[in-house]
Amino acid sequence: MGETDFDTIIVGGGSAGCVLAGRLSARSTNRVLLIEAGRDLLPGLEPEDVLDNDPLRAYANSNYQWPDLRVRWKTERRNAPGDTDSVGYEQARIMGGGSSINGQIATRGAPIDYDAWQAMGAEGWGWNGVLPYFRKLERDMDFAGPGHGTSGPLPIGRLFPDQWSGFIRAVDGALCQAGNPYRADINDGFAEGHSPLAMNSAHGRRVSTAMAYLGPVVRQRANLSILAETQVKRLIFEGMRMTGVEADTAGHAAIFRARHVIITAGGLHTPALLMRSGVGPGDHLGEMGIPVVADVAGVGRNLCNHAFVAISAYLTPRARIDPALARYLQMGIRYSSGVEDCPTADMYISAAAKSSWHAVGQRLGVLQIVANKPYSRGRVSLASTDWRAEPTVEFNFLSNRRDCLRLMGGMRFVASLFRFPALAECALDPFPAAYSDRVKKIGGVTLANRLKTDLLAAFLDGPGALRRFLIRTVVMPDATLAELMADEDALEDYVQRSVSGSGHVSATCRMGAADDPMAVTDPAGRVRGVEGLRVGDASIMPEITRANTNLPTIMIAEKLADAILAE
Amino acid sequence: MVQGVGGSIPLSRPNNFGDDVPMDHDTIIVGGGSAGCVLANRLSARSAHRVLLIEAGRDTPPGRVPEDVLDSFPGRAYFSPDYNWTDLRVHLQPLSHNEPRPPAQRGYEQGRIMGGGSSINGQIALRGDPADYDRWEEMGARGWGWEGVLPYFKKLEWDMDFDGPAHGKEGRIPIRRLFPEVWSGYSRAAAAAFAAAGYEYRPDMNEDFVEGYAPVPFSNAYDRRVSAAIGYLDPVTRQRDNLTILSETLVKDLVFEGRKVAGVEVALGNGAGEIYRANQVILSAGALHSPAFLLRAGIGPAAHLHGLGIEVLADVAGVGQNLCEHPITAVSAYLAKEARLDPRTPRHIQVNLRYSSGHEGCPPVDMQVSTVQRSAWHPLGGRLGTFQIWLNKPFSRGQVSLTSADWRAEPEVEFNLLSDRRDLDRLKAGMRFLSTLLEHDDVKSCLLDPFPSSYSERVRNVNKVSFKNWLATGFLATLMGGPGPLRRFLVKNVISQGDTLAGLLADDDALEAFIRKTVTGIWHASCTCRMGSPDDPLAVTDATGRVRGVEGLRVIDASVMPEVPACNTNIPTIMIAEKMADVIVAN
Repeated sequence: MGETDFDTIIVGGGSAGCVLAGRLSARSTNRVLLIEAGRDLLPGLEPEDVLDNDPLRAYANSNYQWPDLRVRWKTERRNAPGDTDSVGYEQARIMGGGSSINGQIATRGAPIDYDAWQAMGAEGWGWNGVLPYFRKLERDMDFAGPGHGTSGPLPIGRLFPDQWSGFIRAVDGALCQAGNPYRADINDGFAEGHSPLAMNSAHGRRVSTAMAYLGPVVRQRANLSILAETQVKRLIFEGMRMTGVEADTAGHAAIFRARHVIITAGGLHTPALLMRSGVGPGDHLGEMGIPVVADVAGVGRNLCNHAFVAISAYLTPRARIDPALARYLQMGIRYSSGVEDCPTADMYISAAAKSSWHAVGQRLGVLQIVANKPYSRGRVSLASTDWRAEPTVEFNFLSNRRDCLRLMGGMRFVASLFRFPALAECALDPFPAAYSDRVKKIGGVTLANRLKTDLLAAFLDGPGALRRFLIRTVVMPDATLAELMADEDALEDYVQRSVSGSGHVSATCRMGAADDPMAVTDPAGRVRGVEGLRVGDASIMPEITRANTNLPTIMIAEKLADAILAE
Repeated sequence: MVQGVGGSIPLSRPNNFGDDVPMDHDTIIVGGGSAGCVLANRLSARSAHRVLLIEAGRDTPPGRVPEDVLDSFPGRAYFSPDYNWTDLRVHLQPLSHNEPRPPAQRGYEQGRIMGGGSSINGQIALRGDPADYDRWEEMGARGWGWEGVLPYFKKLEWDMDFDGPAHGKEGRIPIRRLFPEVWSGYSRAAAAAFAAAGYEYRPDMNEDFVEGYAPVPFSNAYDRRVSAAIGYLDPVTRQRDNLTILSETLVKDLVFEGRKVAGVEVALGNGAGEIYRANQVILSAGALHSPAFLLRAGIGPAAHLHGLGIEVLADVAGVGQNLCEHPITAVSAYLAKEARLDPRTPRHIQVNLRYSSGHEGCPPVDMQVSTVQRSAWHPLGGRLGTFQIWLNKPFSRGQVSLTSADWRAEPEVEFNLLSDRRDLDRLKAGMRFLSTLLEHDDVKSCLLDPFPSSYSERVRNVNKVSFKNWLATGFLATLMGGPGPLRRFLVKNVISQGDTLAGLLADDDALEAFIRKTVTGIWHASCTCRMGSPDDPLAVTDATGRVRGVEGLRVIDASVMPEVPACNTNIPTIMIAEKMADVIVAN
């Protein structure tokens, strides 16, 4: 390779990287290299489990994930090591990134969340600044009007009530009785209510950013190179100037030079790559023996994610999902916790018509309670200077008291929903459910798991007393809902023990004003203290918004691409 | 057949979803096919306009579309008796009236399912030649020249590959292509042979209509068929209060009050009829059934109607005349293993060639070659590749007539394929052209033991999805994979019907006889109620689909085409519905 081989190298072909590669290479003089650690997905040759509108098989496919990544939901206290276990954590390693394996939920978040970004120093990122990009990225298959785009690359569709399972319709009935109204368009306005989930899928298929932005004609561009199954080891600096990246392809090292590098490796790997390359908190880099290129205190701090707890229930046959329908995440619910100093509609419940692909999963409906506007913040740091080593990830969930109180309140709210007649007659024996490693393990698509779960399902279908016994002893041995509802301390203890997180890692390299010491990038994604380097993914969010992070991440990439092309 | 309307009509009755169906509508659309679904969407967009869509076949509501319909490979849906008018039989070749034993009629698939042809067809999404539409205008279809139709081709599509002034991005029918990177070995070999024959690669068949080979656009997104029903009868459209959809409901006849259409009579399960009233009725039942409806209602050639004892409501000589179809013949061969389809790209046609026959009196780019990767769903079909050659611009014309005034009887359909000598001569020359493609080294190593092939009734029967057919073809496929002499024996004695390619090429009479005997159509029936100017005695409708001689009745489907365009008819049919809907909504 020559001296500057490319104008722009994009590190990470995820939700943001594919957008940037597609948009930046539209200008034919712009030589773009996109590097992805995972496999590429050629248009028309996407694997069936990726295309599936039901994400459970893609979730469970370890070929699409970073195999060694582990995280801690809570921060390990130095005086009580072993108090919190590390658990496996899915982060995509495949073209399209999270958008190739996630739940395909396409929500935008509250306008005031973005106005808060602007107030935090991300100039231009208020609601009026981001709305044009939410519109640009989408092709809403259901709704038109000033809030929606109709010709963007990413189709967004919904499953309307006529396709909801019996359980989801019963949840709708209970919510209406509880005063939580039905709203047809979850991406129009932001208020309490329950809605068909908007999904980045069309015609029963997932549409990842790889499919939407790197179609066959885009890939034919002479100025776009795509390098898959290649991991970037570190960034190369000459002084403070970014000159390229050092990468590894199947054990072979290669150096690619470029005028600009954009890191889009996700909320965990982006800060890790910066720190390995000498851009990060000086004290931490010093600890690790990494020469400091730029002392940027905010790198890896401010880690956001959505913490959740859940309640499941055994579904009577008529409440179960029709096996012909792939989508089981059918409804999103917003409500207000009422906890002091929290905005309205700060909470979210995801209503799932089943909990897994297997026979037990088919029989269990789930309401997952999410602190949608979380206040706890975690941290990403390096465990090793080795490029192969995964970083240390501590989410520090519930470190802010409001988060704990709201999840406790959410457990009470959902337990009350299960007492409305509509739900009580089709969703039996509700119980607190946690997404443990054990649950995850039985979720693997294997014959052994199928046989085990078929057997258990047959017993669950037996007499109610047997079912309650099995739920208490085998399915979820932690606690009963009645115990938790009767005892505030038991509830808090349960929430503290069983809280887990979604895949919404974000805000670890946050944008901000030049005088904000914890800002990592400016509002155009440029990393402070160095030249030629940007971050362009969920890492630059000043804080997480009340939405699944995929769509906001795509919006960020669209907006940055526009800014870069305008420079 | 012309009926009055009784005084006591119930206000509504439940449809098969249990909803109440009102009895009064502004517009009733007869036929939920490629055109009917478009019209139902566009006309009901105005909430004051009450629309009733009636489809004889099953509905395909969102989330409940059968897997064989969604499949990118259409070979299972094509022949499913669940999605077709199974009693429809046609004559492909001209009927000689002094021939004591006319050739047997054959099956001819016409969609009976929501989405119509677009739910079962090959999903090919071509626009045809701008000159085709300019010719429509010359023939009296005012406003239907290329400049008039292009906005609607753009409006209907979401071209997933190409931008630019020729393309739409916001339409409801996604159109995509498989590009050379993912072509099968056979497609790549065919492309090499086309290039060696002097033709250029043209990435976008819908942008310019010229000679060359190209990826074939198809109406599909993310490896899923998108029918007109899927694209236009989406969940939100179906939620409109002013749109009622009745599926699995047969319309017996149109109902008139004098010369003004008053509604339709549908068949109830018990054999009785029930009348739905409307200010306007639109026939979108396809080029075979739409003229049959008109004829049964007394709108058609008076002499023919008299012969059937049907009272003449309007003497319209052109109804059922001018039937167009694209005639086709083919060469098939055993596909070498490395030439077969990747199961992840299950498209049966990836690359087409358009070229000019150069035949005297024929327009340029009048021929098309399709490379069929998979000849059927079954194991043998997966090992047979086919070069199809068809006439983009046929001159032969057929007709649709009635054999009975009974609404249950299928019409008489005579395609008269190759009745114009120019059509026969061009297919003969086409077969010779195919034989030169087969000589190309790349093709030779992909297509083993080629033989002239045809879509016979025997092939049609084997192509129905059944365990027996799977077993029989699986066995045959295994034998075909054996030694060459065994394969050649099977090709000669089991697969083909005796004719060899060498034999046909050596004997012009044998070639002509073969083509005459085996020519088939490709389900592009059209032009039987053609648009035209008021002074054209053979025009059936005006340029907005209004049927002459009566009030309140339109035909909007492939029937109104003045002549068949040089392409598969589905996208032009959707274009027609979009354009006519625009006129209706504007009034």
